[in-house]
Amino acid sequence: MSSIRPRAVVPALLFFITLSFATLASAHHSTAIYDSEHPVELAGTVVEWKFTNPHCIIVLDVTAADGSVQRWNIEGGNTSGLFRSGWTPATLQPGDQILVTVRPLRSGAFGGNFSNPRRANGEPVVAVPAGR
Amino acid sequence: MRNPARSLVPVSLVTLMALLAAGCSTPAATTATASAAPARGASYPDWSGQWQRIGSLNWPPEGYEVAGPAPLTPEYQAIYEQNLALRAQGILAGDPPATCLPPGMPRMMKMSFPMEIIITPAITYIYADWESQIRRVYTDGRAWPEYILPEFNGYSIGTWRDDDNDGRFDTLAIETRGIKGPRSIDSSGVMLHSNDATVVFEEIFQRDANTLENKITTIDDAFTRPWTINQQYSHVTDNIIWVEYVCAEGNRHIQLGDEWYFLNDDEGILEPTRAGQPALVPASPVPASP
Repeated sequence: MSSIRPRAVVPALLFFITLSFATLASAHHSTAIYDSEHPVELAGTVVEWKFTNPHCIIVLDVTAADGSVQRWNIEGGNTSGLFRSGWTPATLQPGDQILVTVRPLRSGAFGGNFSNPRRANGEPVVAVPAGR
Repeated sequence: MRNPARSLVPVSLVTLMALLAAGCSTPAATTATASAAPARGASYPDWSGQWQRIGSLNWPPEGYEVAGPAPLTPEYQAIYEQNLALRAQGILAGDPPATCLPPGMPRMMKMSFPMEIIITPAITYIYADWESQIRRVYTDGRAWPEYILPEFNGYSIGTWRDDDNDGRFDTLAIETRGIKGPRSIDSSGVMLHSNDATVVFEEIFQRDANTLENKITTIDDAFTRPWTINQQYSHVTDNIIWVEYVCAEGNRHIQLGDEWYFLNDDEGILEPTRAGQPALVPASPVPASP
């Protein structure tokens, strides 16, 4: 799978979706350290899904345009909010193909904060809350 | 190194003047108030269940009509602006909980995560799901101890009031001192003063059947005057979910001196967070094979 980096033009809708997720995910700390002005769209293979606090983590292998594999560590929400939204430690499995929007570290390292997680077909990863 | 003697008198002269200017009780007067025994026969409100924060994670905009933004001294305004500039570089400045420190008072009462209140005659327990923190508010009529060991949530003495004289307590008034730092007011980058002389006054009461309100007045030497915020919480009674929170389990944000790193434990690397910062790759403790 390939990564798509819309650094030149960021659709306004995507930007606001990202910001709204930031509000949900930033209980632990400010997300100002991430580059919200240059979000990236990643398509990759789940290596590990860590349902932990203060943030969940997806370890995601992304194949770049040159064929090299980038291993991203991307953090998301907390277990409290995620569980109430239907996520569990079994929601993602190694090998799952997913799409995410990532606000990357400003250093250029393969880390950041993810939002809008989708299955490869574009459907939301979690559609129905399970914790209710 | 903290000076233990400081906490013997946790209220600075500036704070004391602010207290008087705000019309708040002086510590001595408050001690007298707190020493009053609860009225006999009055019953306690039912605040059981779960309470969830109303509004965003940071204090503004709710409460703005009451207090405006935090009234910072020039020194702490400069610190705030510096924190914002550092964040723009990728450095997580001015947000101590990022390293898993507890938010402390008064940020704890923002309740980023749900809250539970357990009322007993001698102590009211305020439990915050975030960091699994608990406050003990002593309502047994005790006086302030001679020495308060500084803690992030401070030492709280409360007084129940029956403001409408219906024989039922409706308001829990709390004074909290001995609060340890470092603390920020929220995740905005505004820090409270490093002298840790903060005093927090609260009045918690039920606004309506589904709303609890906390009028929080913070007196701190980073402020030019007392700062009051009204925080509300909505009541959850059905299908209450409590979720354990252990911050050390998955925290990625590592501070080493003035540098911040993003933990990549999968590869054993501390990733840089700002441009131009080298990654930190610890030497392996395992000797290389001959």
